[in-house]
Amino acid sequence: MADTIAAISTAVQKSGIAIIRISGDDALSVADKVFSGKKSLKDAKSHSMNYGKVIFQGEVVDECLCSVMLTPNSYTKENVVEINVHGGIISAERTLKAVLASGARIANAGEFTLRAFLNGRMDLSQAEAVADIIDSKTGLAQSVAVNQLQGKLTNGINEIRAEIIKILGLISVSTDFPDEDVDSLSGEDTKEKLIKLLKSVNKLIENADKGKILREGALCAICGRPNVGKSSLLNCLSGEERAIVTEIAGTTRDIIEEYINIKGIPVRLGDTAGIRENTGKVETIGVKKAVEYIKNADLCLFLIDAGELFTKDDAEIYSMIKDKPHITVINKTDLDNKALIPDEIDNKIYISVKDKKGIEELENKIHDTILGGNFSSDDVMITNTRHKEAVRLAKEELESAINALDTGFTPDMAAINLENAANHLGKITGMTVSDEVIHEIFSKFCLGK
Amino acid sequence: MDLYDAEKYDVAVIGAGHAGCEAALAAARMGCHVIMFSINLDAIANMPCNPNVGGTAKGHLVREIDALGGEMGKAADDTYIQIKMLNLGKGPAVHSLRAQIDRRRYQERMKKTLEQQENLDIKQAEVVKINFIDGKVSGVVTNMGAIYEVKACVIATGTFLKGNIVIGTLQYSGGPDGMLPANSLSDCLKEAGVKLFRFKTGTPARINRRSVNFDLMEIQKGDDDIVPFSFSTKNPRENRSVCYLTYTNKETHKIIMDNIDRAPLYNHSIHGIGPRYCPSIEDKVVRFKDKERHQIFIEPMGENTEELYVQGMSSSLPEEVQIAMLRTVKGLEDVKMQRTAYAIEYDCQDPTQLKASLEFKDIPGLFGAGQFNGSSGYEEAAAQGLIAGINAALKVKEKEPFTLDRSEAYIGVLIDDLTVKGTNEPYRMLTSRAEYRLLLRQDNADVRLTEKGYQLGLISEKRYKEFLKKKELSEKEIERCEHVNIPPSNEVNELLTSAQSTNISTGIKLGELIRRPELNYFMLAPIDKDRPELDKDVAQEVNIAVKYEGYIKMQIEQVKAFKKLEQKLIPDNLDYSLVAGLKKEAKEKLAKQKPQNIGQASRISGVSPADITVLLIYIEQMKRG
Repeated sequence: MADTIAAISTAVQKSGIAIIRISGDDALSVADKVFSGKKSLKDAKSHSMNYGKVIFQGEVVDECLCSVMLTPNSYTKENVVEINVHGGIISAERTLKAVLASGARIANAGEFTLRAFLNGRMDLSQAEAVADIIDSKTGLAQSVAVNQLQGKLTNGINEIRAEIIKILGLISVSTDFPDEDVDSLSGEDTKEKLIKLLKSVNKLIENADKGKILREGALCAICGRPNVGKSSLLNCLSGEERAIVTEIAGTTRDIIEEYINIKGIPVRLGDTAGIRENTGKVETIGVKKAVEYIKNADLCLFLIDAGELFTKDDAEIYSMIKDKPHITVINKTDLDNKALIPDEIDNKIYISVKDKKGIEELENKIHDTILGGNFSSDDVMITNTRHKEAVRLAKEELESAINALDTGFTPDMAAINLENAANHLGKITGMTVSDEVIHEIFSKFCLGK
Repeated sequence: MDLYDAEKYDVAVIGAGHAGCEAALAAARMGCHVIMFSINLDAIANMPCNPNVGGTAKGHLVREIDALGGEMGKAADDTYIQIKMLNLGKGPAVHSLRAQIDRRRYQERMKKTLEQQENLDIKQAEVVKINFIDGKVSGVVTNMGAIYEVKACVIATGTFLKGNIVIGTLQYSGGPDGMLPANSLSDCLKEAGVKLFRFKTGTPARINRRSVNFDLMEIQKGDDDIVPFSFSTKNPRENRSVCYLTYTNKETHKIIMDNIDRAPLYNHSIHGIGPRYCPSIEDKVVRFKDKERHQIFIEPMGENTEELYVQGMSSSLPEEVQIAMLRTVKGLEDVKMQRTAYAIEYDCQDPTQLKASLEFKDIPGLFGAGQFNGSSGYEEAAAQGLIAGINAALKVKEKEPFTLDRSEAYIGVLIDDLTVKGTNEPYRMLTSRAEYRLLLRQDNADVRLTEKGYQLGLISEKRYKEFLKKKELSEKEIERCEHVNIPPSNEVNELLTSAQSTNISTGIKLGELIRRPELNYFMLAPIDKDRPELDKDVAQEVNIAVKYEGYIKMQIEQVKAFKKLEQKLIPDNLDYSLVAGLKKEAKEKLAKQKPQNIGQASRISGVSPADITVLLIYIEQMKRG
């Protein structure tokens, strides 16, 4: 018995239509109480659209189209009715109110997805992907989550896991049947196979970092001496006049952030205070904040004024960022190039914020620096922290196994690491039973009363 | 048949194979009056297949049986003619003892032990019926018409139940090794609601030593440095015998393939399910066509016989084909076959009907052990017999059952696999079945289990005290290794150099040196001045505990995670039909098997991890109400 839940399932925005989703044993009878059409929904065929009106307390709320999906062929595998009303908040909310008054209860966060998972419609990593899609900030992030929903992550992980189990099988054959003249796996053979596996796992982890960026956004710091045009660059990239742009050096004392979409990557772009040696007190606080911000950034845009000489301050800032992913942005190419930039300064790109020159190239470079040039959303990608942690643990176990073989342990000992690795990976796809997974679910989906 | 009331006993044991012997001895030693039945007393503790005790993982079982106060290890130590530690080139978790046994002497040794055991009577008779009152065991009836009133009964019928011998087109009702079958008991069990399976197993031919040319074979010797099975064996016997290795060849395979339509396995006259890991020679040849040869071990059956066992040639082909194929093998050109290889089909029961105590869930007082529970192997049988005997005795005394879990013993793994996962072929123990095998080593079986055996009353006061002393010595020595400092000196560095190990320039803990891959506890003796005199087995245990400390710790962590799920109890009477999201198969299996905790539930075949997640959420939600 599943009680009947309802919620507005479209984002609350100025869209053309809004959908109120109802799921549960009584979905049809609940919907029938508010729906008035040619025939009642309980007589409607599965996967049919039914035109009618939403009536609440004797009044017409809106015109609507009701789609009916009967168990088990629905998102939750329960009876589902989706009431499509006109967009905008008022219609949707009044319709939901009517539905709740007719016997449904409001769904908890993620509850439709939870039901889909509990009813066997999707595995854990797919359910988590749905949560990611809901949260995703750009189209690219969403397409990665969609891939996961389609089971790509599950398949990728299962392939690696199957390979581990195959190796384990070979190891146990030679330990359990020592007299048989089967080809037993030597330490060297085992190691070779493990190194190959480790490569696949490393690729997953690399992609995981990218996945995190797609999900949570890359933190990108604009840094440089005062008055090289940092705030102007922020405004230019974000297309909004948010940062105060003046000609007095040291105007930005706090960090100004903007969320922008650069070629599909959600980027948190931060304009930091200009860094220089001689500063007033208030500005010093700004500089400290800037230094801290730069430390945490995934990418630094090091801004240089082409119209001025490369100074000690520039060199100082460069030394701060040179070991992080960075792009040296030489601004004000509209002015004469006087900067005489030292040779060791790398990853240079020339732009003019004022003339809007080189901005497209800069955006491309930001994209490529964050994701690497040959990135595709078709790659198996880990976006979820729990998944990444599991893969990281699996990687550690594989490394321990290789290390054990290197230091003279026999394959049957390394097998203990391999069993662990397989278990860690199994936690992602739900092949391994662990109550940690359950805790995760309880933290992600609101359960209980 | 005229019935008469015979004597009263606490426990009846049906069958006197390896399971029956351990069950009867354990129950009697725990103070119960026990009667054990065998169709033929000359079949007591027989090895109708290979004349071996032990092997990979099986050797572990024997040592655990011994630590709990069972008989198999001691009997094997008294009668082996060759003994060997397998897998010595591999990690300590998979070292396993295997011995060639003098079959007849083993039987005599065991029979006499039974005959001398206080509280125990043995009887040659076939049990044809078990009586029940209110669904509980109340007595057994023999083919002589004798009714014995009992409070508990252990069924350990091996391959006797409706045994059917198959050799080519020849089929007849019979038990193993020329014994009579037990044809009546199955029907009585079916009536009591027991679900029966039909399994199959087989054994190769026996040949005469005079007809074998050993010059054409490779000799296989036992260990020079002998470790016995029993922790109480002080002066193990020498090796007295050798085995030989030879191979099949293309000619052998051709004869098999030419006659494959006469093989019962391939012309479908055998219906029972056989073990995958112990295939007949025709099965091997058909399934592994590319393999040019298969190994054949020639093993002596005992010192007072010229009979030899042909390991690797199990078959149910017609006798003439068997002779022809044997004679293609190098060294067997003129072989005389004394006993023909055969396959045997038999009734056994679905072991998921049992609790971890090996008592039937739905039939109080009825226990099962050995091949009757779907296992294969003497050691697997003995281990179950011991546990069933112990629990039959505890039942009579109205005490809580004794069980072992997967983190405590191979016996725990064996019984958990059988009773929770179930089996669809004769089950054999393997080291890879034990998740925590580095903790369940054969060398520390006494540390794991002697205390429990003592508590049950199966380990003598004297042996227990010796064990405590040994345990203290090894714990102290492990402790000392982690604390004693080895300062750099010429002597130390010379030794390290000779072992191709890096020299030291500052002091280092002895334990750190032992953990170096190229070193071990024994090699460091010359530079370890304060080392106490220790027995070899204690020293070996110290070496393993120190050397593999990292992995041991890791496995201890794994056990903690395992125990967490074992301790997550499933409410009694949970109505699985109400748990939305459980797959139909999972619902049925869970409702049928009634697992006590999430750990058990997760091991039931047909219950997926996704089902367990659903179940965990359901239970958690119930709690949060």
